[in-house]
Amino acid sequence: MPTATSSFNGSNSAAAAASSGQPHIRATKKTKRSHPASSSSAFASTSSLSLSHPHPLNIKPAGNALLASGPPSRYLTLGSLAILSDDLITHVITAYSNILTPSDLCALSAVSSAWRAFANQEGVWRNTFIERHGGIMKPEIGWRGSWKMTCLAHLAEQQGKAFPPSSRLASIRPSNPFYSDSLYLPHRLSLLPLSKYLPTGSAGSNPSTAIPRIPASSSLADFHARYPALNKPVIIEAPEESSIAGLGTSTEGLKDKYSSRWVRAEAIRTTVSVYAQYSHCCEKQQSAIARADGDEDVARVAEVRYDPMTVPDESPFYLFDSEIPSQMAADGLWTVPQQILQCPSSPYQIQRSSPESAQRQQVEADLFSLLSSSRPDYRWLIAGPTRSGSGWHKDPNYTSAWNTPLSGRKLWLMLPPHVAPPGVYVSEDGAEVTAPVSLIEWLDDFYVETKRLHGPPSSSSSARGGIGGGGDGQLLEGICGPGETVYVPSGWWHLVVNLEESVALTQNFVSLAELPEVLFFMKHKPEQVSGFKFSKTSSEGREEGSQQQQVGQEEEDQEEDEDEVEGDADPRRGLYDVFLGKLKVYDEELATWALQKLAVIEEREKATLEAARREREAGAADGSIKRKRKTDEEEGGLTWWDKLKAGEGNAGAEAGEQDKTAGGATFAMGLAEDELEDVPW
Amino acid sequence: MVVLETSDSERFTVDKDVAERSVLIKQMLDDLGDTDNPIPLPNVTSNVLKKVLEYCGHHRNDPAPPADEAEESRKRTTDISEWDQKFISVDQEMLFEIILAANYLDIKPLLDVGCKTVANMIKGKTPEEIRRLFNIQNDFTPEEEAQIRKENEWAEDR
Repeated sequence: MPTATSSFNGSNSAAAAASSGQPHIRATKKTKRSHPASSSSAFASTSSLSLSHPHPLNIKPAGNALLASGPPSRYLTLGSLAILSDDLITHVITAYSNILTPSDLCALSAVSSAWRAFANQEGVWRNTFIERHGGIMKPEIGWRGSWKMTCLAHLAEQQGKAFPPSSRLASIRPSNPFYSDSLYLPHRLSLLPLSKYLPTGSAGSNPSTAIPRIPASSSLADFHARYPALNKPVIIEAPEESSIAGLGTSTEGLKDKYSSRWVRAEAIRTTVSVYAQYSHCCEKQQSAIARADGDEDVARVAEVRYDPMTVPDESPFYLFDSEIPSQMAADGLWTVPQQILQCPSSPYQIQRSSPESAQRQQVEADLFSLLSSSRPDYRWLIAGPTRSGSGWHKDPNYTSAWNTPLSGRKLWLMLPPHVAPPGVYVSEDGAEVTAPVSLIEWLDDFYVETKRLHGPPSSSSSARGGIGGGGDGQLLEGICGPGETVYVPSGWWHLVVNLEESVALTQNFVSLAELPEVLFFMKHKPEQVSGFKFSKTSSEGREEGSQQQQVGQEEEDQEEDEDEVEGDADPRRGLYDVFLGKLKVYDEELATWALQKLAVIEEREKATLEAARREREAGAADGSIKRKRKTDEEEGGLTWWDKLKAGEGNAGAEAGEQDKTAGGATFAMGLAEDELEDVPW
Repeated sequence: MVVLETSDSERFTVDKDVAERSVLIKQMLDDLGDTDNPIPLPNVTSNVLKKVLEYCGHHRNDPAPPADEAEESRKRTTDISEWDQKFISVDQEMLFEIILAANYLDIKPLLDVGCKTVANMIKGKTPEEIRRLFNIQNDFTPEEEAQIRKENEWAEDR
């Protein structure tokens, strides 16, 4: 997803892996292209919202200025800099953090109400926090109710100064509104009701575009024949409660059990306990805004700090951690759904001489287990408040995944592998996915269009409220609640957003269903393979999960192991042979079957490339345009999520370089450089 | 050679490599192919374009800036070269006009020089000094100012 490019985000690289700020991108992309006259849109659609919940700093959409009486205060309270666009002013105060320090931002916030609106933007302070503190939120300082106070408290600690725990943003609401679309946007997005995006009606009324559901009692053979074998998603309904350990665990419950464990939440690293503070704060703030009558929902959670002078994070940081699961597994809190725990070979027509056993079915449900400690991170604990989630992506290494919420519901949008979501840009080789906007902003900007293109066909009776009808029916939507499991087939695009504060388990795997595609991927796109561990110390030390996590340097070092190798030395090139070797040792017949399937895929891809080449030759002019587009895309980085899954400790820039290096090496190995780049993944 | 036409209808004839310091113009030329028609720049006045072209002329042989913006921002330094400093020593109005033009024309290094200059003007100043510098009206009451001082307490005694 988003490149690490915005002025809010450019620096997340410092905060390592996960970051590069999927949620909070926006400034530079717009700054770059917008000229001063271009910001004049929002008022019609947002005026009703602004009435129901005004911006705490009395900021209003630019269009509202047309209806206002009296002279605009812009030039008085911004001074001579008022000639710049709002995006440019934000750019000046955020993009040059080596010139303007937090003290300078504080000074600006005291200049006038308009400067206060710019210098106290939560996005500015969120970015400053990530940059100055590497995104590490110390447990002894914790979340202070706003990014500004959290950042200042950490700075004070760094300098050995006292910072009063009760510090708050000054409660000053200017009597004159300041009109700005760019300052209003985070507020508007944070108010966007998620209910607008829930699947039409009940699942039954719209069978063509609902993610299918099957009962928990479905047999192994039935599940595999109908879904994994056909590469189709499905929701497995909740089994008897007793069968999922820890069902009902909330963020608070997680905190009770793993309070001082360090976890990653995108650009942030902190303890479960501090993350819970942050998450509850987002939750409380959102519910206070949504309902005039206040905070009953979360009032029972004590010690929640939220500052009414802030605009809540529109796409809050999402806890996505691969370290805790091994501890949870040791504690008996990691339940793999029955249907996924084993994989029968019957739907896959493997000729085998020996009888099938439960043990074999278990190995064949999770073939990366053959790689033991060098397998990529594969189990993830996910937690986050309402509106947190992950934007459109595919899972790494062509793995499939399952996802089971222990608490809270999630909205899922899914598109098949060959249908790229609108508003998301995929590089020609499929290695990079770039979305210029945050998850919530994507919903606001592209959901309707996605529905129009890929929603239910017009014959469907479910077209409602102007959305839907006339689509190609490729978009699948569903809500997955506690105890239910989404099966995400390999290669499928998906977007997931929490409808409530939620804790969920997810796991990536390669079963017989995915094996041929995964082998193709490892053999022909080794430069895109991610997450495998090549350093014994890093993998085994971390798998133990027994000693407490150390923040910072140690782990960063380990994570870099993979990135330092490039080109021919890239051990990822040997992974295909290693994995195939393990398969052969495990079961020669299985390996033979897999290689036959692989050959079929290779034929298919060759045909696709041939077709693409003929098409290209047909129109030479098209070629140059295509080239150019690619260059544009190369500017984009990996998504925060890709990087997180890949376990890489650096940001877009290096990932990009790596790709280029790897591309060159591919060439050296005798594959024509453009041979694979047009494969429509 | 390329002909550029400003909002006040003045025409500038410049070398292609100079004009192409602007990504906007470069993309227009890529799309149009060779053309003798003037390229309209309706957001730039002649006195500002003259200044911008002076910059582009001086930097015509600079290597292309890194494509990756994250990389670029990492390398972003505080220092401005001597020539650039002299070039950007203009009155505030011209400085802001140059920033606007650099943004519109997509000349990233020039945008950086302009924005850094503004950041340097702000750096280390008190709120009152910033107000005076940019002619900003203080619309806070004394009570509000006291509240804000408390909010920013940490930064007070740096």
